[in-house]
Amino acid sequence: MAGLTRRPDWFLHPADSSLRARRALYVLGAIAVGALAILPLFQDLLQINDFLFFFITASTITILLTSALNLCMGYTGLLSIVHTGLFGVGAYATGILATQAHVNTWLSMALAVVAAAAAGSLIAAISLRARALYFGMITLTFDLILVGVATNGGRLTGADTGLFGVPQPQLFGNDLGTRGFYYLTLTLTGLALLLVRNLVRSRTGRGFLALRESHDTAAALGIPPYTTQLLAFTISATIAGLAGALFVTLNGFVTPSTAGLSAGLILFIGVLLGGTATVIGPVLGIGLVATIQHYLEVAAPNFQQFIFGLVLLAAMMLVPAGIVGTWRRSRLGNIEDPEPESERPGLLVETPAQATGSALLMNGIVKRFGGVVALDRVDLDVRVGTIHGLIGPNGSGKSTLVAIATGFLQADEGRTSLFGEPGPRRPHQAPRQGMVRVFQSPHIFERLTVLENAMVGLHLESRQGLLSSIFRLPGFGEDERRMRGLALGRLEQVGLRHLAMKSASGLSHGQKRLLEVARCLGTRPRLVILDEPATGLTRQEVEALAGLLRRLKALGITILVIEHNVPFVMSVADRVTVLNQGRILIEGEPSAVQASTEVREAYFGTPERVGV
Amino acid sequence: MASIVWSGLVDGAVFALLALGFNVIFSTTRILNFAQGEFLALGALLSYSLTVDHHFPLPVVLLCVVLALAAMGLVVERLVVLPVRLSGSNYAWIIATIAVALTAENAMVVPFGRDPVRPPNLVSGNAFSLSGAPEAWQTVLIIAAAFVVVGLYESFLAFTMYGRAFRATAHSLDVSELMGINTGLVVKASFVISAIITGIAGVLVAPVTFADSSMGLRYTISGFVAVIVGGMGSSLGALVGGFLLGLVTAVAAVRISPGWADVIAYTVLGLVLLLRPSGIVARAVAH
Repeated sequence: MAGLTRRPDWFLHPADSSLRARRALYVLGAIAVGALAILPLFQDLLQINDFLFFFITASTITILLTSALNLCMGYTGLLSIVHTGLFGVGAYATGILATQAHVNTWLSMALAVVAAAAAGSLIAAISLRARALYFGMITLTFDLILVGVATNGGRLTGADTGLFGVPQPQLFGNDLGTRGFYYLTLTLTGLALLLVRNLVRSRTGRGFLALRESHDTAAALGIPPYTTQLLAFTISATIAGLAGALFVTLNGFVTPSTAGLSAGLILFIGVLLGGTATVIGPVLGIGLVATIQHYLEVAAPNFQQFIFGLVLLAAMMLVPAGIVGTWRRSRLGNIEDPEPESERPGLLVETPAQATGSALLMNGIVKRFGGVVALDRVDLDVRVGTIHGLIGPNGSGKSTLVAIATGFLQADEGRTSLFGEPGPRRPHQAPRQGMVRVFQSPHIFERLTVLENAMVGLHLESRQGLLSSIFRLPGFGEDERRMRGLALGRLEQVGLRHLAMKSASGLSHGQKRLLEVARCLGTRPRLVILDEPATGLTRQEVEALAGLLRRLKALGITILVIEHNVPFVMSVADRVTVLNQGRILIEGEPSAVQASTEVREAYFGTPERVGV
Repeated sequence: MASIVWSGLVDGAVFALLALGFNVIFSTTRILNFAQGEFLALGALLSYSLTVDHHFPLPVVLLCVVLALAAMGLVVERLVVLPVRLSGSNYAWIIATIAVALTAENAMVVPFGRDPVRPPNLVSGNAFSLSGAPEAWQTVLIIAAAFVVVGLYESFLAFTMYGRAFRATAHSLDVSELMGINTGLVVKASFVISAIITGIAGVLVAPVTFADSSMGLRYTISGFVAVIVGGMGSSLGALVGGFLLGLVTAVAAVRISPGWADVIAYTVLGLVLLLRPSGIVARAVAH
């Protein structure tokens, strides 16, 4: 909350036109909020119809539901087609409790929100077995099921006609009324938007974004995919349930089509038209769409859908990134955030390295894919404090071995141990055990800034709890500043500090590589595994990389580097293991390996055969 | 029971054709077309109008339907692909296809009105009786059509030059482009073929159910479920998913309750997805 109350420097003394534009937007927003707050006081004076208040309240409920979808789809990348269903759970649960069990309406609404949260977490717990589009498809079947249950619920749900006569909540013995609902809905929605904003700008929210960008990369940095996405979906379902509870008490009724697919179209439109993964996007998107629909209803009742459809298609071509996204790409909106205040960039104190022993020890690893034996009793011993090279021709099993070491694949036989403990069973456990992996092609979170990328790497370091993030409890700000400082320190270590506030998508290939290294260092690794880091780098960049690896080694970090670039490996590695056709060919010092004829044969073929 | 199964197979054949239609567009564009059912609606309504209002002979009706759907396929392609190309969003296709569905559904009211209609069977007479109930030749035609159309489409993919271009584009659009395949044309052709296949399903199904301008979305959902359960990108999956959905719904409707039939069908199919998230006949294509 501190950031809201303390006006930053740029606000008081904007340096250029884009900062002035931003200030104007903030002022406009404040005026809009103020106008909405005092509008009912001037109802009589301005002769405003009650319908306007009803319209604004109903649209605000849709905005609340759309924000829930945005949290899921925009921020976490979970395509949910069950949000109208969860909205329906909130509405029906409120209605059933209030009309049939005669529970107090306020209490019914509260219980309904809990019911929607429970339904949401159950649906997510099941659907998260699948990913991406398939996740969406399973949620779709859940929505169809929920609508079916509502339609066939007999007296409990009122079947086809739905539930009627749901009583309004009361305040001081009177029904809330149009104005009461107006204030209630606007306040709750405003609050929800604020809390969502707080959530997405925190450790947890960065976890959502990272999972949206790349499941595997996020897991490799210690973010548990399943529980994190379950959390996002459950919070989203809670908000959807609140919207449903407001909807049914405002209108007094709910029908099965409320939960149906057709009702959900406007939500997707609101998210994409407003701007995905922006807090204000759903407000603008739904505000615009609801207004257009309202006027079309009056102007062209028979061709409402036709015109609406064409408007949508046109909007997609004119503002492809949504209203907010298009603004940010424009000349005035395209400004870099100033570097946020942070504690002095600090370096993590490295865990004192244990002087001897094995960092990673793999014994007798066997992995078969169908009939193909990819790894055949492979042993690997990466000694603490060394740079260990793993080389081998294409298809020799290097990547499979790394995938097994890091928990992405399970070996059919053999044992892996990490600093004397059993190796990770799931990818996200690896960083907790001191091991972090850098992928073959740069896995950067492209839509995040360089600084945010580095901060995702601090997921395990950060001490922010969920509640402390959402409510900005004391301690959050301090932790966030410390994380920013650490992230900036990491960026400085690899020479990217000056690019901290830039979008990561604009980095060169070599810079992305360095950013990945900086990011993985946030996990306080004792062992870093680099998968073909030199691929596609220029000679200068390869040299910079070699220097970086030596610096890391000096800090006591053990390194396993898998590489095609033999000269690079030979120049940095203390020991080299050569893998060929799923077996260890030779292991030893670089000079010994280089001299080995077997290695030459594996790479170039046997001399006798060349002559034939 | 036999007649229940038969009616399930008839519905299933229609779902299978829809699922195939979904697949054809999905394979070249990775778009699940929410406007797919509108092709079916146009086929059904146009065949009624030409047969009953204008008394055209069957071959002329079929020719007109095919031409009209080819045209609709081309229009829909432009309306969907252009916005999706321009917008960078991963989910732009959802809005684009929904917008097209809304527009098409509303536009069909102009020539065809809103009342449900039912054209006569394409072939008259009953083929045989099952548990005392006569089954019309029309139903045999529908089931046979599903297999014939799937067979023709697969032969097209396997044995023709254009079919190979289709498969290449389905595998990788970028690489196909580099190999000199006009992928834009392939995408257009896939919309046309998909529209015609789905429109034919509409012509076939209209006489056994009713046709109206709002039927599109209902069939879109059924076809959608069929294609997900069967497995996206696979013609065999379209048949399996379609017939499974038809059978489960028909049996549940009679044995349990007509109201709960859909719920039961979706629950069963949801369970199938849990066991095989990428469908019964999974193909690596859909990733």
